Amino acid sequence: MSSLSDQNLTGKEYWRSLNELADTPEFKEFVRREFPNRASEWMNADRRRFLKIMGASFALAGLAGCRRWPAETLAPYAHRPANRDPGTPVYYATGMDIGGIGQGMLVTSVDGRPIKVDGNPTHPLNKGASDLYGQASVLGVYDPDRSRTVMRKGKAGLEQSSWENFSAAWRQIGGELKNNQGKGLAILTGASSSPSVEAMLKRTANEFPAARFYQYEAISCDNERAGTTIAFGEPLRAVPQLGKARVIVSLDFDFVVGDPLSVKLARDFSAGRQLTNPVTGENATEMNRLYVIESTFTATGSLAENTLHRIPVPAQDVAVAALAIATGLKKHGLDVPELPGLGGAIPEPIRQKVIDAIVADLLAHRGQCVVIAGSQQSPAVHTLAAVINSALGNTGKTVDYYRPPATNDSTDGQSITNLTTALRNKEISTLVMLDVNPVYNAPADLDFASALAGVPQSIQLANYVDETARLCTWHLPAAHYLESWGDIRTFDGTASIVQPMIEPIFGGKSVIETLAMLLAGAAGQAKTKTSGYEIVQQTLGLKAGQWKWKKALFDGYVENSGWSALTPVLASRIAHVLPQVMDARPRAELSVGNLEVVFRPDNKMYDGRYANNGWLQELPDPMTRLTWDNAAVISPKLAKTLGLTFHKTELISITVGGKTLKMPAYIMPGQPEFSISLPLGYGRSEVGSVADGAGFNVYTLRTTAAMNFQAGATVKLTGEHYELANTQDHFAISTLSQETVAARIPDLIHQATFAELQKDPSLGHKKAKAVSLWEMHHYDTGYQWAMAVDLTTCTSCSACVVACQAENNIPIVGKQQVINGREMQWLRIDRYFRGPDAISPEAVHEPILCMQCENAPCEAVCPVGATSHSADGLNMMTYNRCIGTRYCANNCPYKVRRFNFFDYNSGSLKNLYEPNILRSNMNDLVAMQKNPQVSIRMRGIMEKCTYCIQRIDDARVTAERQNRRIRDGEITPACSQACPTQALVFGDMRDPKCRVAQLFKQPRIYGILNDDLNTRPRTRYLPKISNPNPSLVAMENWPLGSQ
Amino acid sequence: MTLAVNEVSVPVDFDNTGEDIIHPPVLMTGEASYKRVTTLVSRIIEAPKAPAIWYPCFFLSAGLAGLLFALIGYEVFTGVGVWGNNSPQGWGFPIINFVFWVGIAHAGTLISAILLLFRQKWRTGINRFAEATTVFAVVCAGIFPGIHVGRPWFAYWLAPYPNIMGDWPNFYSPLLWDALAVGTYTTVSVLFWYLGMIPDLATLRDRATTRFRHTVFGILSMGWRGSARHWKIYDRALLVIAGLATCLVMGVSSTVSTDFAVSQIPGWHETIFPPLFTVGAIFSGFATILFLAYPVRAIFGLKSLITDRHLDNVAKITLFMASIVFYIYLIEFFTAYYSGSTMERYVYLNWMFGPYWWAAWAMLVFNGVIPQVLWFKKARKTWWIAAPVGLFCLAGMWCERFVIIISSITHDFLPSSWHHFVPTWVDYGMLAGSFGLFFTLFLLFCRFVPVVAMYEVKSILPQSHVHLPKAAGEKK
Repeated sequence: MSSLSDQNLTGKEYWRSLNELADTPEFKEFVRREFPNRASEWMNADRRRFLKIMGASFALAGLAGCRRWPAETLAPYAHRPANRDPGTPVYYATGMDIGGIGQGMLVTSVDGRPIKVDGNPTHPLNKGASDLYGQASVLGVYDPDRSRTVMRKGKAGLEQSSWENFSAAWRQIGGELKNNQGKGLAILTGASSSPSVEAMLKRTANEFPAARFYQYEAISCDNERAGTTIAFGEPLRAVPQLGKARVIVSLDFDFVVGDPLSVKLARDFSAGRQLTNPVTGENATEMNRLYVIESTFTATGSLAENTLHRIPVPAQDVAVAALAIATGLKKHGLDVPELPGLGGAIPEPIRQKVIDAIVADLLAHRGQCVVIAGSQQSPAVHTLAAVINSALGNTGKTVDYYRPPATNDSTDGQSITNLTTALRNKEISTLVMLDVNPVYNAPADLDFASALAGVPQSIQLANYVDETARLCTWHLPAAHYLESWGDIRTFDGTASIVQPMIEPIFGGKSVIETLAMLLAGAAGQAKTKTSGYEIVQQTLGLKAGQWKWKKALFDGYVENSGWSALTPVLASRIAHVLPQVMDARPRAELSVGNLEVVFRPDNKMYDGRYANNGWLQELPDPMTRLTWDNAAVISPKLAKTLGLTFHKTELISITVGGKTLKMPAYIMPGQPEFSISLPLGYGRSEVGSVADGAGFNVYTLRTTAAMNFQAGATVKLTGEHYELANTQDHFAISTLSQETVAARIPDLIHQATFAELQKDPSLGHKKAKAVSLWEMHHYDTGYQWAMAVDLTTCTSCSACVVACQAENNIPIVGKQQVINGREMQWLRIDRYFRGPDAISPEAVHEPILCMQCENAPCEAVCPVGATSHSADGLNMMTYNRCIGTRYCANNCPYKVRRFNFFDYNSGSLKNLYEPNILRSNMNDLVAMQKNPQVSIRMRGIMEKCTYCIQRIDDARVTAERQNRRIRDGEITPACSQACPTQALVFGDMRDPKCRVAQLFKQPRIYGILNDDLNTRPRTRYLPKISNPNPSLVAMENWPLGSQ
Repeated sequence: MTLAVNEVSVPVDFDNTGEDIIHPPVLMTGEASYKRVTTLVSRIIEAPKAPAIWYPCFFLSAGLAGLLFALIGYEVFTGVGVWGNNSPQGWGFPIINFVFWVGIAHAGTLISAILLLFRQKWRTGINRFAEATTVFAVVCAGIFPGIHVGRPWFAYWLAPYPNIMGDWPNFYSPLLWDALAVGTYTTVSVLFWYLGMIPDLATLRDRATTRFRHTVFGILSMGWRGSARHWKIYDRALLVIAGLATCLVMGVSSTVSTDFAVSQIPGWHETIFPPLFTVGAIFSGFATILFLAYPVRAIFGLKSLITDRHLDNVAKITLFMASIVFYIYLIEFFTAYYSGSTMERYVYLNWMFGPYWWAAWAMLVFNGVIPQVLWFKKARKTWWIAAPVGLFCLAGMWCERFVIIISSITHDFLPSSWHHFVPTWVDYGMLAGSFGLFFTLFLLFCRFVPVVAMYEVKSILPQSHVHLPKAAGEKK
């Protein structure tokens, strides 16, 4: 109840209703029932009623002096805090943790509701940028499918219970455990960077000396830890400093999207590719170079300089490529320890010529190059990366090593195996699982579900009533990170305080609070006296109210709390160990009957934790452009062999290690022939309405023996058709259309090499003199807003797309509507393949948002004048005036206008085809996330990007009140704010000092279709520039493909 | 037929399609008397029961019309998402149907107005029901733009009316021109049709045997007494409106075509669209009459008034228009090739060989090739050839609109936004429903309104022109 204190309770209506309401028997019952377990009962009520109940209960609680409401949490606006205006956004620094690495976030909160999460500008990892997980995380707070109450196992499955009941039950269980020194108690956690979690686990270990602790993360850094242990004798975390590297070799590391560190890595990487400094207008004289050896076509692969800089190999052969590079370096006299032999010729399609070129490039850039390895690659690859970096003198320069505190003695894979064995041996009587979901994501061969079934007491803390919760004796609702106190550490150990933005909406608890409660319960206390707030203060050694605490809260990180980077030296035994490691998994001869499957974290779902996040479900994958599903990514050649066609998506049945999974096949150019990529994180049909029916659970194929990739798979066609929701190439494209696309791409996406740019800064692009029959409007007064998009630094990570969706209240439309071509994202990232064949093409990405054409085709054709041009060059949309003829969208050559075919904001996705009068209204919880500065659009009207006009107007009001011009950088549209690589630069093109004006001055800048249509777009593009190795440029003549 | 014969005329199935340079053509077969004209037409209305076939036709049509209105209700209460429209295809079936019906709406006015201005006497046999098709087609057409918008309850914002919002529609927008043109056309064609009926309604009033009929037709005929003064004013009014309507025939389809021609989508942005749409409209209108005239005259026994010669002329005009339409298609392809623009060229190739190839080939074959059989007199004279040709032309014209609206925009500038358009059951239901509505109105018209303009037919009978040579084949 108390948890909803942040509701906006102003307005006469509420006070008048209070008296009416207070006398109803319903309300009296409500007050009597202190903890409304059946929260769903009133969450389904309409908004007005909801507010009535909320308001009344607060007031009466106050009158009665109810002791249960914790004083620290209630903040009604009866007395407005100083400097706090209702409706004015307030920004708080906080942090979130993914896979054991913390990110510093900046949360926008309006009237006590967090509505948007961005990167914290002062945080060392984020520096203002964020990834799609951070952007989408705010939606998780308001997910109606979240776990709402404590549940306990009853006769008919899970039954609703309460924290009191649990506490009472635990006092008995915990008390007994405590008497036995904790024998039989096991605690399973996920990877966490939190010092407080670490401290609380230590305290638990002290209280229960015989308890066992396990850690399992489905996407773990096991391989890195194992690899660095071989190389340096201890598990370390390698943090590449890509900003200092001029040559980068990625060994199956998709570092720009989907990695907890990707914000930093992408930013550093793009720093070496920013060819024009937007502040000074200076042009770069050098550019970094990226080679990618990878087992599926990733966004990182699309950044490789050309097709010869990206080698598609099966995952098992990445180690061979790494070994070939190391061997090459050794041949050139580098101090590389004894290496195992390559064993004959290098397997196709790794070519000696390319390896030689990489080796030469690395040698030429000692100390300025780096070899990085992906987390799903074998320990051998991580060892070799460490060896190569050491030999090239990169350690401490382009790669830093840190020693994170060991929370887990063995690997995560070993840990979960040990736990399952212990469970089966009945060594565990009480299993506590904190924020983990092993029934879903533990290796399939362990059959964790059956092991769990035999445990007398299993207690799980989780955000959703998920796969694990359904098998537990107790399920506890977890608090979202935006609802609880906590702390995190980023890659270099810098700590941040996680501060709550809102009371736990469903009364959930954080991991540290739960541990505190368990400890208190075991000691016989009904209620813990230590709150998360106090635990964090204790752990960090700070005291609330102190200057240091305030500063840490304000900055978003604790100053000087980072570790210093290590410069480890290679272990002497490495020469002995390496051959063993290399041989640990012998290469398989891959063929149609012996395929390799590669398990990858999904770009959007990560390990599956975001499965019920609609923004991420509907976000097109950067490479496949798929929404709402995962698919087995297979190569065109394999598809042809198997008899699959582009024309029909078919379910294939994949058998590996005796386990079979049916899932749709997606044919991806650039995929290694005999390797199949399987994105994890889907197929969670029981977790919520969004995840329901989305994708296929690949964990069912993943075993302890092969957590990352495995040979020996076979594929059978089922002949069953499956419909995938793809936002691009929704349908089979004829040869004619393919040729047209191929011919059109060079016009749409200008591409050149760095050498060509040096020779001709305009890249042969003549500034076409716009010819018009009439005198055009001169945009030569006031501000003239414009945006420059740098295609060289855009990584297609899609954080901008989610940021736009969050900022502008863009609804999701569901799988069927995406199939129908009605997705609503205002910003999309087009992906095209380019190249002579489908075996090793290049992929190019192009963010497309409204071009804000000065000569806008959409404006003239609207019969009611609902879209018009502002004096500062914005193409504006008047929602209230729009009647929905859709003429503007038809006439938009960029197709950036989005139409509300249904009332996507009201009701659920499943009842769109019900007449409106039969539908319920927008869910109250969902409504709480909406940005109050942006209208919610009803059905039947058009919407589009306006460069976040609400932010522009905010800045204008501020500037006008201070009687000055808006400064450059004062306005940042949501997309630009999220972008880790600053590929989207916004500003006033009329002011020559503005960054965007500096970029617009570059002769290479171009407007899409401007030469054809003279639309005079305000969103202009800097061509995609690559920097190929001079010995690997002959791509047109290079015989591509192995056959 | 037991009619009092006071003057011997040509037989009812007399072949009057031959050309005779001396005698004016026979435009009414059988006994060409005033009384017979009146009786032939009036008895349809005065008969207590309609011909047996009328009832199943009517109930089928009315059922479909009911479906149309049910689906409109569904669409308005649910959202335009019930159709297959998407991004990039914003318009889909509703606008195809709109353009299609607007096209059909052109024949009636053309026959009545232009042929009136050109003093083509044969028009009198078919002008009334051609005008009726105009009005009913305009009704069908007019429904679609109104309901296709996202918020139909605000569709009236298209009208330039003074309002407290201080807002005015955007006069640059072809959609506005379109709304105004179609609105004007509806008004004028209804007026023209009604005005043309007044003397006939007065005839029915005078023949009425019941109080009810007398009252209804009395009101509808607006006090027509047939005085010379009446006729004088009446003729002038008709001429003025005919003049207006003629301009509108040219104007409305041209305006509808600007919805496309003014935009810049390859395949839409074409200067040839105004003539193409106008000719196409006339073409589809004549095809409709070619298709409808046979059953109408067979069911209601009007073969003496709607003679073979009338249909022969309709077929000839259909053929002429088909040839122009076909020629424009070829010119379009040539222009696309000659423009040198890859975007343009691709659109036309995609028409022919893309996912909607069937529509483009149907358009070319049905509109361009099949009507060519009408070069043969035998084909023009044989109902089971001529009527199906009319039907093919209608299908072809619907496909033409499909090709223009769907094929072009689903493959526009940026390949990333290309997307299939798949019609839903609501799309098909509304298309069928619009035919239902048309035929419901048409069948009601046939039953309750004089199908043939009696007074106009009388004006071309020989006895109205005693000074002229006797018509060919007319016996002494």
